[in-house]
Amino acid sequence: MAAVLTAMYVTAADAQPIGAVPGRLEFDAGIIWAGAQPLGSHDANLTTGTGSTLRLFSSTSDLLAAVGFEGRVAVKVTRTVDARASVSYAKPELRTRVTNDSENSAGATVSETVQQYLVGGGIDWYVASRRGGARVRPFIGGGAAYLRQLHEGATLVATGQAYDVGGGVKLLLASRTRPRQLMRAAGVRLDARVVVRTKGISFDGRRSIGPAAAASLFVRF
Amino acid sequence: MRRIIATLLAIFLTVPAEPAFAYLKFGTRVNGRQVTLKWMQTPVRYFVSSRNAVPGVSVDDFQAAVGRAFAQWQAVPTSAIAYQFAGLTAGLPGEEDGLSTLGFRNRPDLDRVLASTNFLVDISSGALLESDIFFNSSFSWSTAPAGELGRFDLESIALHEIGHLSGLGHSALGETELREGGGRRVLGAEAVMFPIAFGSGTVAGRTLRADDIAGISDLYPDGNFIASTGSISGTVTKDGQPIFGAHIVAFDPATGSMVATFSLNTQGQFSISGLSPGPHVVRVEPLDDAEIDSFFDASLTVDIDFKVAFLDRLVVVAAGGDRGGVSATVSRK
Repeated sequence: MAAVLTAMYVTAADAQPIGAVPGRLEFDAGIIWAGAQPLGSHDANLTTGTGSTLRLFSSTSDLLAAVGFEGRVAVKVTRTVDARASVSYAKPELRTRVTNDSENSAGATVSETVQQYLVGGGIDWYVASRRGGARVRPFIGGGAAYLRQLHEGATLVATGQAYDVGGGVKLLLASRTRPRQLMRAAGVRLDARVVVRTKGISFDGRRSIGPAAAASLFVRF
Repeated sequence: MRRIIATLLAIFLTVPAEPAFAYLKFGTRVNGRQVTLKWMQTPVRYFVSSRNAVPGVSVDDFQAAVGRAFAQWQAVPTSAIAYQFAGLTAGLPGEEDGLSTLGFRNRPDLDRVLASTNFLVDISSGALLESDIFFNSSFSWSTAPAGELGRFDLESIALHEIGHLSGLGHSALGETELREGGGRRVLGAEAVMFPIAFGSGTVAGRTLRADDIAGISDLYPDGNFIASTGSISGTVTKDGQPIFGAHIVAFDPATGSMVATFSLNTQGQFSISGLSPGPHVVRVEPLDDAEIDSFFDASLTVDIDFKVAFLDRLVVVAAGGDRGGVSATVSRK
């Protein structure tokens, strides 16, 4: 894709509004960073003679932040709205810190690597621009996805849902308006989101909220 | 048998030869092969002795308390064991009469034994034929719902002994401290099958824990047990050599539950079954919170010269599967 972009040039006269033509398909691929997800804390407790607890050690678990890949296909529904389907893949580390061990003050940090897939869809709404030829187009959007997480060894799967809201900008780097050219435009998409995950790997059963950010290159046909 | 006393059961406790045996169970050798002692037919019929009631505990109270304890073991959803109250008997526990009898006996000579379980075993098959539990009436007992100061809770002790009656050995999921005058005091336990009882006046031992549930389910699995839980197996080594008798605890960070076993042969192999699916923290510790002969035959050499250690990876357990090949390395103290 980088080669395609460098082979193109843009003039002000060629530039077209990013969301201008309903029915166009847009593909993009890039990287996504997903923030850490706290999974909760549990103590290894013994029961005492009074019914209270005696802590053997404590544990705190997190799904650590990770960088992965994301691909997306979008279709223009109207001049200002895209409907999109997306898939992402990342390998976050599930880490449990063991502290306050009654017999081993050093504690421990133990981990495993999780393979995480998100497949979903959503809507992006482009904030209206007064200038028809604007090359920077902010948008806001939201979506939902099926979450599939495979523990190390791929012997155990956790599934759930992820919902995101956020916004970003699309930067138009190149465009073509000539009728016989298949590729109409290319550019960079940058966005930031708040992601709410339900189920999946969750030690306390609660939904988790975390940040995510993505950068990708897109081409429109 | 509660460790507050000790040894009667220890003489029945031998070590399984195969690492596939999780938990400590009673075993015997049949034709050179280690066989786990268990009931081959259920429900296990038990009788309550109508003799030797003690102050504060009538025969009816006794029957009700042990009935509740039997009901707890039977209610374990992943175990197929079942029990049936067969009636009162004029016999006493300890008599070889073909009846599994629970009752009091006055044994002031056993001044540290609250209760004890013995067995009649078919040594050609390992089948349990009879098992009696005696409660030492030289101690003060209670069946009060909230316990009574200065009296031992009969239901708690019955729960432990019924674990033995069913074929379970002791669990080491507990912490103790040495008493000045000798013996140990329990600081905390997370298994009814821990060998040392809580003190008098408490009912904290009336509830089965994850380790007990895994143990009884491993011994008498129902169809759902194998499909719904998983296991971890592997070896424990020190200085490159396998060690016997290391205590291995699988901790589920999602629930806080613990299930444990030992490395049970000279290859240092262990197997923990009945684990909930998910990642587990594995902790290896020396057996230093109870007398070793509460767990193993005195002729066996148990290595306790190593530091507590954690596996550096989470061990993922899948439902219906065994996460084998886990290698835990410990270092000398």
